[in-house]
Amino acid sequence: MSFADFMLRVQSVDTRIIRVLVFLAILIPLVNPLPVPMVVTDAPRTLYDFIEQLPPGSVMLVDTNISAAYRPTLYGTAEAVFSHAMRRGLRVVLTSFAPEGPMFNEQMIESVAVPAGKVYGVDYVHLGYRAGGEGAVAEVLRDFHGAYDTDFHGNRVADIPIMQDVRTARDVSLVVIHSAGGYAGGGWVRQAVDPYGLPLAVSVTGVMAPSHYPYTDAGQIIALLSDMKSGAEYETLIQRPGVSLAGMGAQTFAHILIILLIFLSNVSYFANRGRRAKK
Amino acid sequence: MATKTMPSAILAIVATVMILDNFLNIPVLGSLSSEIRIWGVIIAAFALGLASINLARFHVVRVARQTTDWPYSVACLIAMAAFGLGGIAAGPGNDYYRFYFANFFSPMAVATMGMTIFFIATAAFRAVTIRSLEAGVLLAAALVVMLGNIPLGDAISPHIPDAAEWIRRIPNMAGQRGILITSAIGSIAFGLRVLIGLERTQFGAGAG
Repeated sequence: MSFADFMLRVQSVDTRIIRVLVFLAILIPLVNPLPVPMVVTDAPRTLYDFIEQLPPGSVMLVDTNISAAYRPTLYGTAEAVFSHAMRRGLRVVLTSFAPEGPMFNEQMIESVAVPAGKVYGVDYVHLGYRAGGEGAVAEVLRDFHGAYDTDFHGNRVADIPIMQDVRTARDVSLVVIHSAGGYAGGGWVRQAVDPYGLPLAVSVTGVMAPSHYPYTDAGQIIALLSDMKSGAEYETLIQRPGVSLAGMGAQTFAHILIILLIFLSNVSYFANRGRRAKK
Repeated sequence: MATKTMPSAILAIVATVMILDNFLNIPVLGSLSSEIRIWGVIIAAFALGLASINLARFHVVRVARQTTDWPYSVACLIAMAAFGLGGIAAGPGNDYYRFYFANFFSPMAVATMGMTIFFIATAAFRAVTIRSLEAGVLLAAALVVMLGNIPLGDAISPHIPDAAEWIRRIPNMAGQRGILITSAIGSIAFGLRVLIGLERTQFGAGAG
């Protein structure tokens, strides 16, 4: 069998074989985790440094706009940044402008704030979901107490200690959003950065990241984190391995497999190009 | 005619208030625009409820008529009832709601999204071939960005993540800026047309 014949057979391989390979490339690193060395890039480092230089007690506003489908991509970053803020003694106001977001805020609280012994209402608060997208963001930033009568658990916002000091965007030192879609960074630039000059850090999916680069270059977004990789880098920075580092092995193997498949596909294509031309 | 003129007038007034508030620091305008935003939040919340009723009605009709795949509609209605009623009865923070979200909804959503990797891998193998110079450039850029996104890229050469970042920061950003600026100009033009009553497509197809 000539090389061209062999490559022709490779090209017509059963799709199910490819799917089994993908399955194994993801499953094996998840079942048998491999240590993946992470090189920390600029964006996570910038956000890390920014949080480090904030005085304890500063207010960090978080918008958890994560949908369940993108949990593996974004949740690790959200948890790592929240953990860092708690460790630094920042006061965190958790919000969400996506219906599924509050559930992830609750998961973060259970896995980070509760074990750390942080006090609800003093060190952090969960305000819950507000419908209305960008308009709701604008209204919350203008008047937290007007936009939220009660928090996620039904407590009156006016009675929550942390909220005595958080009334408008002027009381916030940093905004961090985790977004899987919608208005995302652009909306927050329009509502938080332009009118109030708030520092904004954005964590988005890999597909959304390219559309956010113009804002980073303009200085409107101080740090643009994207995908599981940024989460893994942030976990490395705060030395708290979490879901992102655990998933990097699977992501690495899946990427390698796809690159190999593309390579094989092209070798096969060029090996048989002459044959197709003769036909 | 009045059915189109009245909404047009409301829209024009609301838009004028919001635009002026953005440029002028007048307390009355600030209060007005804030009130309008609160209405927007209320309407959005109401729309969510309306959408749920509409979805339920759609699936009830499918089940009643036993159209194709109607058992899926039954599953949808059961899920809606379990999630919706549980949330309304005890609030979204209750244990039952959390359990349902963490053990049913979340894994199913992730699994559905995860399925795409199988199609991506198959498509990469079957369709991503260098048939032209443009396809070659596209593929080279994609490979560099993919390698730059995993630790292996840095292990092969520290220049790979730099090259990936360069692709994102220079050619990508040039394109994205173009899209951003042109869509902003388009939005301004569309807004002006709405404001002066020239644009009426927002009231339905063919609205004149």
